[in-house]
Amino acid sequence: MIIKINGKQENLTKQTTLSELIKDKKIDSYIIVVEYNKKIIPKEEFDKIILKDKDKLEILTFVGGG
Amino acid sequence: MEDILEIGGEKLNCRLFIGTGKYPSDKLIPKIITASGAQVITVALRRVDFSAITQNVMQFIPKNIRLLPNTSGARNFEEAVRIARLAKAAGCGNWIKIEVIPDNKRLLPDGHQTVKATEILAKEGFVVMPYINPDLIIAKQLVSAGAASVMPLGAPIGTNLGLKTKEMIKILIEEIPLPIIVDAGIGKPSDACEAMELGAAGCLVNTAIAASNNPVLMAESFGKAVIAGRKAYLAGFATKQKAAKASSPLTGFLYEEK
Repeated sequence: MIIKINGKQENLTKQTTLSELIKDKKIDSYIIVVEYNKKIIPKEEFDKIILKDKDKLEILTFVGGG
Repeated sequence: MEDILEIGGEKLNCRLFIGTGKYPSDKLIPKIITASGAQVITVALRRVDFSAITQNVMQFIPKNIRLLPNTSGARNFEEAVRIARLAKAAGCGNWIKIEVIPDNKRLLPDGHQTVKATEILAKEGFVVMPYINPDLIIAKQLVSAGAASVMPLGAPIGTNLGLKTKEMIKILIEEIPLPIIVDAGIGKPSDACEAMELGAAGCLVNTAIAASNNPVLMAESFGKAVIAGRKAYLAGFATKQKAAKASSPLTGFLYEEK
């Protein structure tokens, strides 16, 4: 199953929820916001989302800026 | 004397807002906040870089500091609205600095797109602080659109050139019934002081602090300059005179000795 995360294609070999992916990526301590197929997903729903082929994810965080 | 700046229902004692970009290390940020006294701090929203999972800027921002995310990267109102909604969903409040910049060379903001974004976001309950060229007509449209303040530039972003748009900023201060917060171009504490003397409600400074040789010391200096300028504005200036007028009594007895 191929999904796009922040513009890059990734191959997921097993069924993964959004919250599992965030853990795997080691960003569970980050303040993040996720756009899943162009829709903003509240944090409470991260473990309800089971990723599927061709999904598009934008995972964003705050960085320094003026 | 209590001198409060009220924005979006929040009462601020400090009129210096600071940015978090360009620091040699994000670890400096807590020291910068303490030294400057700032209560509002800007951040930007970006894709997580999975190849460089390190410390995140948010770890260095104390919880009692008001976060002002910007929409940097937005080239039109749709993108600005999208970034604003995402920033709010991240759970750090509903303040947003609208920055719509279609051109990467001059980095000047698009006023029309900024008004459109402000209209949409103010209706959604955001505290909207738009960044614009100091253009009176655009500023008036922002008032109608529901902006919480107006942020005119002193000079292009990151140039440290000072208040090149001074006369235009003065017009905004006189005509716009919202806090005018000068953003961009401020290079020295004296520039910030001057903006405050003119009657600006506040200043936002990033590069001039972050790119200084000693950012913490510079942050302290900016904090004090903003206070000095504000107090001078509140005190009111003595009028300018062409002819000299002694400020000490001219001592009479030297003449009487003859």
